[in-house]
Amino acid sequence: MRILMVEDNAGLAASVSARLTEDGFVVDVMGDVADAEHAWTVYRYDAVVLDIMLPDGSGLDLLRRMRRQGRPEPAIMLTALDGVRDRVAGLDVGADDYLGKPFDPDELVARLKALLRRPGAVLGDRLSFADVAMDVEGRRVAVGDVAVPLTRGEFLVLQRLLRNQGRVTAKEALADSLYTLEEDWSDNAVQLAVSRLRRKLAAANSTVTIRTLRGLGYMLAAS
Amino acid sequence: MTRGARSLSRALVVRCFVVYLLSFAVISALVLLEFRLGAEAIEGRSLFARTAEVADRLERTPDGGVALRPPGPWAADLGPGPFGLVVRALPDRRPLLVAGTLRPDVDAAIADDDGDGDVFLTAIDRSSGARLVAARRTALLGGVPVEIELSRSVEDLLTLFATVVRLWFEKSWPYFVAMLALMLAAIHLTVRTTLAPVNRIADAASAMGADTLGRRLPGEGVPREVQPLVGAINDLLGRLDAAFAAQRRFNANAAHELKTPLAVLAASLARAPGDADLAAIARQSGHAVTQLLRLADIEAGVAIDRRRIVLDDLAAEVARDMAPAFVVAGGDLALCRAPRPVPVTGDAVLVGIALRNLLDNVLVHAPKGSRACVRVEEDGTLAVEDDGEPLDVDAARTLFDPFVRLDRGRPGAGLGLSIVRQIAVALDGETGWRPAADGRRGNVFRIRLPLAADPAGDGPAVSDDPGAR
Repeated sequence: MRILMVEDNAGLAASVSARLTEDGFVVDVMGDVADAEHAWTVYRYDAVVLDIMLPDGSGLDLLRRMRRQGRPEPAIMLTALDGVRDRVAGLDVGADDYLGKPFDPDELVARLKALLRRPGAVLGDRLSFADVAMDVEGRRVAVGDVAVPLTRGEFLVLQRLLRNQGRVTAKEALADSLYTLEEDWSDNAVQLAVSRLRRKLAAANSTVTIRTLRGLGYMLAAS
Repeated sequence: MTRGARSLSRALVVRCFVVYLLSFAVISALVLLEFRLGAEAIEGRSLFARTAEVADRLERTPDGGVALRPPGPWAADLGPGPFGLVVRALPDRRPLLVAGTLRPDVDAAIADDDGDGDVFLTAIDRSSGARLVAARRTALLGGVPVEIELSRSVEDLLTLFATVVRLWFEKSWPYFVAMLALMLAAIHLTVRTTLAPVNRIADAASAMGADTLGRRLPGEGVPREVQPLVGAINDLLGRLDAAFAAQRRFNANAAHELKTPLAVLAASLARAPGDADLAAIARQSGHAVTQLLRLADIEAGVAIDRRRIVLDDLAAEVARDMAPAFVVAGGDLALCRAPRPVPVTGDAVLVGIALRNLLDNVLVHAPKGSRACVRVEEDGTLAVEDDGEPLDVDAARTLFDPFVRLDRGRPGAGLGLSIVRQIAVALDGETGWRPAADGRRGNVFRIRLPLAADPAGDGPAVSDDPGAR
């Protein structure tokens, strides 16, 4: 997995790229907008980590230009700015996520992986969490080495939870993955799929449980 | 609009109505007076013209007298009404009755004219004391000069005049009323159309916030009288813009200069085994810098984007973001919505920060594995309830002050809750603390925001969130 990292502070770039390399990423570090734009245009990256304040311009402007050219690479913005309002600005120009400095490198890795787990992204086909593994293309789910047969609804719910691991998935988001826009859906159907899934995971002795957060949604947890 | 502010349009209409009535009264009085003064002259000229008609119709009688011909309807036209007709032969200056209601005694009354060549004169009827207007013409009748006099009593004249005025007014008052109505409508319309650009300016101004200070009020179409105000406001906006820009620049530079080295430190320390605590300290310092700069921003009133937000949706979004941290710490986070969506007036970003800080506060200060609950209440309150040890009431008093840390052993700069309070103050809301109710152990931290007027029919539709209840 090849990552373009645009960060003008050499020390930060070195530490972070070393951390990413440990996780199997290949990292190209660029120190300014001009170099980054050249590299982004020439090479094919799986994701981009982009600082906002760069010596020769703004990372936001670079991202806006690349998005206009139709470049779809998932991008995480890094910035020292306060975040919340810049986050809105960043998401407006097409950033996929946002991380304020100073950040925990583990957090960056987790967020990068979340982006890469999206459908169509490089990790989008094989999802895993603790001892649960899913082959999206082959429609197979296994706990450890043991295959667990799932119905279509259970599979779709688990897929959504796996892609969104580490975060809370709202019930309506689960319903979205179960039903097309035309179909009516009910709380019950989602609850039913979740409770069956829970039973099957428990029966397979998985360490993974599905937490219910009242009023908020569901989240995968590993004991 | 300021309470008790007067409507310009109404004031103008009322004043113009009064001025119209006054001018109508004054002009009418002047016209009547002028007419009254000029009536005798007019009537005199009219009588003089009629003396010519009378002269045409005079003829000598066989007995040497003078008679009107024919005496029929034409004579009736002259009299019996208010006319006095005297025809005299000059040689003996003896009045000769011809026709009409004649006044034989008038001759003595007709004073000589004042010699200025006027064709009419006024006289007093000695027998009745009435004022008369009279006109005199000398005509030749068969070679004999004959003097013809026509007179009318002034009193009759005025009665006639009053009748004419009354009839005229009776016929024409609807036109005056219509004119008045038209004028008032025109004033009203003019005020409205003239002030329309001012309303546009007001709309533009109310759409502005600290983040749109680069915009200026539109001056096109604004009446010249209002232009200086627009100019002055735009100048003020320019100065505010510069001040805010300076503040933002300072914050951005401070953030960059302070946080990038901390990021380097945190990232480097994270890679050195065994130094995880130091990395955490570096991240906390960065967090404190963020909070401090935020506090400065909010206190300076930079970029408050006040609009209608649905509290439930915002609370769900923030709580979903924060929930994993509670789960990772072995705890739990729940959201309890109000029976109906609660719309408030606030800044979604700032309210989000406030709720995040309230939840952070629970994460940092409550024991590991604590369960917290975000409650949205119908009065615009966001309440975060934890199940930790209730705070001391005295200590809780300073809870929302900056740099107050009730538990020195825990990390944090003590800025989180003071930011919550600053946000509440900036958004005209309030903050508070109380121990958990109903015999539960715990604390309730709350921020209340002003309720937004709920546009009809907009309420339940906005966030009728069918899931995750």
